[in-house]
Amino acid sequence: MSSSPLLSVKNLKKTFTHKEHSITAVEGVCLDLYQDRTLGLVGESGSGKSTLAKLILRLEKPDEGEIFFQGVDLLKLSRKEMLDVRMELQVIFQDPYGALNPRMTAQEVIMEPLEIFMKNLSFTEKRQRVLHLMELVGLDPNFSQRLPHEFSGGQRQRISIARALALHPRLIICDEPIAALDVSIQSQIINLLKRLKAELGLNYLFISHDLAMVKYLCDDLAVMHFGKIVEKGDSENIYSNPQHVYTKALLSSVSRLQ
Amino acid sequence: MNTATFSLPYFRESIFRLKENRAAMVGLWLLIFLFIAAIIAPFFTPYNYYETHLSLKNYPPSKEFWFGTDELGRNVFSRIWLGARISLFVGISAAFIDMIIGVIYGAFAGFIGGKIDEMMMRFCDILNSLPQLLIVIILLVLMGPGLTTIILALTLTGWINMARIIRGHIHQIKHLDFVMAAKALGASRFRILTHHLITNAVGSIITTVTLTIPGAIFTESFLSFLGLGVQAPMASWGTMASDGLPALRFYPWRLFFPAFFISITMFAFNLLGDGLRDAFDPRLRR
Amino acid sequence: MPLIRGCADEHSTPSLRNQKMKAAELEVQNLRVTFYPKGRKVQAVRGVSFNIKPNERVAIVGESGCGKSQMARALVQLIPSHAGKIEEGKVLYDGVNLLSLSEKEMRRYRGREIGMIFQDARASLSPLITVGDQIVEAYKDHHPLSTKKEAESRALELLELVQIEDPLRSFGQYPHELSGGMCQRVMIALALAPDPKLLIADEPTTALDVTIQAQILDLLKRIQEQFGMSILFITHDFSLLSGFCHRALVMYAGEIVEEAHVHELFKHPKHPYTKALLRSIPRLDLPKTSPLEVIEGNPPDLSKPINGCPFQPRCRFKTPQCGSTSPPMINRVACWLYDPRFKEKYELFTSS
Repeated sequence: MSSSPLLSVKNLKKTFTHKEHSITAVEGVCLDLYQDRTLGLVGESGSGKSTLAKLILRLEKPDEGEIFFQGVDLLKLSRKEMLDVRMELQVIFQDPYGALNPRMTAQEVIMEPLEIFMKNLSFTEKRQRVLHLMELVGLDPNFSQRLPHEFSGGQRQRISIARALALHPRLIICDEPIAALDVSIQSQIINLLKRLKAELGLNYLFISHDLAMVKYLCDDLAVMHFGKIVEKGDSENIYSNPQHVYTKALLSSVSRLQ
Repeated sequence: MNTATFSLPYFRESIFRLKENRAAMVGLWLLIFLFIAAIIAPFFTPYNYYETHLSLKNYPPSKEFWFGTDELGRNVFSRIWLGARISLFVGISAAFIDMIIGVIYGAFAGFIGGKIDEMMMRFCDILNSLPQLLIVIILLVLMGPGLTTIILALTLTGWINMARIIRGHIHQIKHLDFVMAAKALGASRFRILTHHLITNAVGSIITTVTLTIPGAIFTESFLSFLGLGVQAPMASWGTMASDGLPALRFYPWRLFFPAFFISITMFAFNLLGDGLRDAFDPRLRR
Repeated sequence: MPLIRGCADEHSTPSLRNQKMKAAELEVQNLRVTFYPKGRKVQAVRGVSFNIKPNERVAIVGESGCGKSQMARALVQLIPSHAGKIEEGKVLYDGVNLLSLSEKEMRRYRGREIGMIFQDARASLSPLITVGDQIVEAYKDHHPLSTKKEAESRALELLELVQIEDPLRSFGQYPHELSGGMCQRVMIALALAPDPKLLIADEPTTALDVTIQAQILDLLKRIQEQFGMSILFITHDFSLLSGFCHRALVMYAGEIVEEAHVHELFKHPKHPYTKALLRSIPRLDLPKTSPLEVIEGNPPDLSKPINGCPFQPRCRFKTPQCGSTSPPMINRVACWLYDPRFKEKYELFTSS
């Protein structure tokens, strides 16, 4: 196991205030993600896991805490320096129906990261990369001129994945990537993610409420409840021997159903 | 400029949907006819718009003068088409200027959000509550009657509608996942505004412009009717209606034709605009 | 636990009621439903037949687009006439064909003997009326002779029955003040107000968190057993079946492809689709290393005619017959592998 974590979050806190109400979405969160070990983040709705993802991506600003990616504190970076980091830190969102600009073709969607970061490439070169990425994620390159609504949910998610891969990131944050997909398609996407990890040396922070899927995909696990991490560690250990009350409740609900 | 801004497949689809809308196509063909007629119809008659035939004053429609003559014996037919050119020009340029100002203002406000957005919208509210006639009169005093004055009068507050619509649209889209994804990709704020936010509002923009035109035409007609528009021997439909009104009892065709053309032009634009709205409306998409 | 206190004798205690009225049996025969979105023709339900016995919890399980929700709505004639049409079939409830009834006659059954609960509870509740009043309204609608006091006390009982924590307080609250789980409980209470014999639950827990899901299903199970109802449970989530239902019917592309008792279904799935699907779902109790099977391809386009078995393009065990003729339902499974002609393919299937 590599010595220092790829991603390290320390004491992260975020409170949202609206008029008189304030909600602490994330509180005192500490997480470590190591290079070769996928980290799963489970929690129910309202647990703060999506907020945590946005904080790591610097789409939201935390009130307190530090986020270290490859040893660098992201919160201290300027906008420009953060751009360089973004090439290595990407994201896939849940909703395949809102995650893609409905006016852009698949090709334009996947090409966008290249347009932002690789301006020196010619259009043909960029297009070549796009087609290659489409094949990599299992999409027919002939569909590159189609609009998002002409694809199925699973295919849109593949487009999202292709977009995330365009800049060869080291870490992809997957925020409930399969929750909105059919059961038989879920396994397709998970297998795809697994294969890409092996082929490209990627890693994932996999956020989900689907405990069984997280167990299947992730080496390490963190359980989130009301903004706090209540348990974390090796996923097999946690599943077979949960310590925290909430983790136990979660696992027992699922196994009761199964 | 990236093709994403005006994504062809998206437009192709919307246009296809538009073609299926019969009412909208009727509107479109009417407008095409009007445009073409405005250009070539005057060539079909030997009597142009400014020649007076004092012995033929106020003649009803005949073989020589298809729409009759006015109080100076001028050919109403030619004058109608001159009026068409003027009214369409005024309507379309006013709407176009409204669009430019409105989109920039509204997109900026919507994108920025927060207090600045609120202040900008309050400014719009205040501006909007100024009575238009007052503005027109002030302009009239400052600049005298004419086309420029009318266009200025129309655009001074006309852009507010567009600004509000765009701002609302942008507020709706701002929080969708694909905008977040673009931010996570490192897209600059400018890029997000142009490639993602405004492109998704293009449908609204086109529709709003199309629906602004009839209002502009009508307002122009109204202002011209009040005597604030183009001056003789030029004519717009409004001035013709104004001249035709006192003669309504005896020479009704002099009011009928300009009024008819104002109505039918507005009608056609409205049909087309509604059709465009349906064609672009994302709610119709799966 | 006697829940009914001091009410008119319209309400017998559950056990008495079981003796008095046999909980109804539902029999669906060859149901076909077609939808007409924007000029196209989509055959959403293509010849579905099944039955539900008294006191039974039956699930219809399938992925999105398989037609299960449309079929559930068709059972009680909830398909709007401009959207779709029930082309064929019978729905026999207590011997009466529901599909032959007029809308007025149908309303005697729908919402009364046959209760329904849906996925998005908050959207199904009126946002303008308090939760308690909604139950009262529902109750008085079906018991017009009851007094307000009777209706209110029954409403409170129902809120208690569905395990809402503070029934008195919740009575006066509006749906937006309640959590998703609580709204779902209210919807169940609403559905139970008229004492239904059959409850159709269309994805009632899909929008809820896992811990709440388990609670709601436990609640439904307990109520079903207590009142002797039957439940038709529509879901896409296989993992909910074993703790909850007696029998399950697997639906694919508008057809029922397999039917079995839940334990049998999991242990020995007979249809290639069921088997592949079960293999593609990770389970908590299985080791991590067992690979997830993937079903390649996509479900068929229901606006086009389908030749033969709908699963055939994605099936690894195709026989020559599969592409031409649709397999009939024999021995609770609709698959040509069980035809003696295709023994070898069958062996392949069972050994995989």
